[in-house]
Amino acid sequence: MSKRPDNDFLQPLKHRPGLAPRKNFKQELRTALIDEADRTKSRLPVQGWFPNLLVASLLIFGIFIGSDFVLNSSGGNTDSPGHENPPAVPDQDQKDEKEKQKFDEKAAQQIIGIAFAHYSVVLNGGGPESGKTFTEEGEAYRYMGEDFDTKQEVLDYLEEAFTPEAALQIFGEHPFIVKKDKLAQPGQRFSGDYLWQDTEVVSITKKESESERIVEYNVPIEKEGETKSDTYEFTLKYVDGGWKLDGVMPLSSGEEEKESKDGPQDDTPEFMLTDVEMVAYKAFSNDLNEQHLKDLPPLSIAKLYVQAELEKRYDISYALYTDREGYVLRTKEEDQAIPESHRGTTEAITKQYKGLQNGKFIQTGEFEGYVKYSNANGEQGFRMIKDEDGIWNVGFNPIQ
Amino acid sequence: MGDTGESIQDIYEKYFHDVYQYLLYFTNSRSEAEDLTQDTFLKVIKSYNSFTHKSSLKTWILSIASRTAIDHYRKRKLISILPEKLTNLYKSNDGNPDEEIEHTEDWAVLQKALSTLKADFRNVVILRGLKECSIKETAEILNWKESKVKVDYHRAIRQMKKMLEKSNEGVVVFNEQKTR
Repeated sequence: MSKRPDNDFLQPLKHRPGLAPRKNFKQELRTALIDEADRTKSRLPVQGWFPNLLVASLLIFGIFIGSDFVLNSSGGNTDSPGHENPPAVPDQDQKDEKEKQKFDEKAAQQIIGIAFAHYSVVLNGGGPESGKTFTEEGEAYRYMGEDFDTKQEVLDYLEEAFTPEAALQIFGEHPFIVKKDKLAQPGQRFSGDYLWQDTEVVSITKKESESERIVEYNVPIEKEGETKSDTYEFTLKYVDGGWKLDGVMPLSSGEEEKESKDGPQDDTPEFMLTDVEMVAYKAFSNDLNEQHLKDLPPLSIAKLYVQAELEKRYDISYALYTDREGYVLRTKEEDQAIPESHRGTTEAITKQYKGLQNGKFIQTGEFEGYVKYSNANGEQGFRMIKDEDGIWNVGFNPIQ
Repeated sequence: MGDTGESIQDIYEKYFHDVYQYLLYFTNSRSEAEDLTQDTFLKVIKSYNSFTHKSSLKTWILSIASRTAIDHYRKRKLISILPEKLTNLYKSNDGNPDEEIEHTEDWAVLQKALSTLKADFRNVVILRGLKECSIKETAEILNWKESKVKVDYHRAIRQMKKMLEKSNEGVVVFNEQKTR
């Protein structure tokens, strides 16, 4: 093959260290293969590997080991090399047992590092060559890299390092959408202050099963030039021939991460409409004409609803409900009949919807979705329905 | 030497390095490359009588190595997109630690980029770009059409180059390694 210009950059790799095998390995393997060829009576000729005397002895007994004769026709013939299970190689169960026994601190460090790398890849578009970006409902999205066109491909990849349950959890917690039959995600970059590749293992506890360990990790946190550390505990499970992380590690400093870690201290900014939303709200409150909403993303429409609730403008909040057939739970009259005492105080509404403005819209179907947000009450979902006119409206009983 | 009439010893001597090096590139782990080299040659022995001589012995053996690597990849499901520090943790099991790898070298950056590619891309880069197999040979080994070899090779190289560009810009690839 002739060299091509675009291969030149690979030159250093052609001379990487380690291309020469370990000194004894080649010899050890040669010996093992001789034994195996003899044991399995391969059709491959092995003459030349045996002392002449032994060959002569075999010939006396009428056994000729050669490519044209098979000592035992049932020994070793297969249609596909991949179907073979050579006796000299430990079977999968033995390998599994060996792997389970070998589990130690280094293995635990590797596993969390690999899991972190996989998690990062998926969060950041699936590869260095993630797809084109586009805008959907006012939000910037990017297609996933070409290895991750489908949910299954993402899950398969995550399951290389995570248990299937943890892989599903990751997928479920991030707002993937499908557009033009391709998977896409919000165009954000995640970075992490938690250095999961540099953990120290504090303790390893064996659970009842040999296939499970609880590992306590000390993870360095590098933030604003300072390095601190924190301790986390994860369960690792032996699944499909390897140890996997049965949980999801925090990344700490990404925007998404901050939202999910608001927790009890709840420093979420107060609810507030943007200028664009305020203009739309004022126009809509005047005539309740949904055309004022047509350019707003679902998150903004959800915010208009909250604004109306805060102002106790129930005519506006009702007008923002969906009128899609089959999704209307009460008439306008029934809505107006709801007593004020059942509607919630301003304080309760503020508390309920705090953090909504930082939420992410997740489309779950052709005309359904929800705004995912977090506050002191934990993770919340605000249900949205797209009406027949293509405008997103609020689902009845939006907080599910 | 023709493909027929060769002894195991001949075959082993002739193709050992091709198989081992292919697997080292694929796994970026000496101990895994050793295990898989053993598995590959055991399969060669066991299934030699299914070899029809329609392809060369070399491509047949490398196709077994490729399948062995892919099977291993699927079973263990550990892609070597390890942070550099972790890559150093791989040791052989014979009590002799692998040579510590100096990851600041160009080859290490390239190996890391290679290891990050999906298995198909990794295969085609190793066979075409590093082992210098022809398009026809690569197609035989991977059981692909020649057109797929060309397209995937082009894409894989492009992907590697992009990764390298990002590395050179100081951008952390996949957040595997935090810039300090």
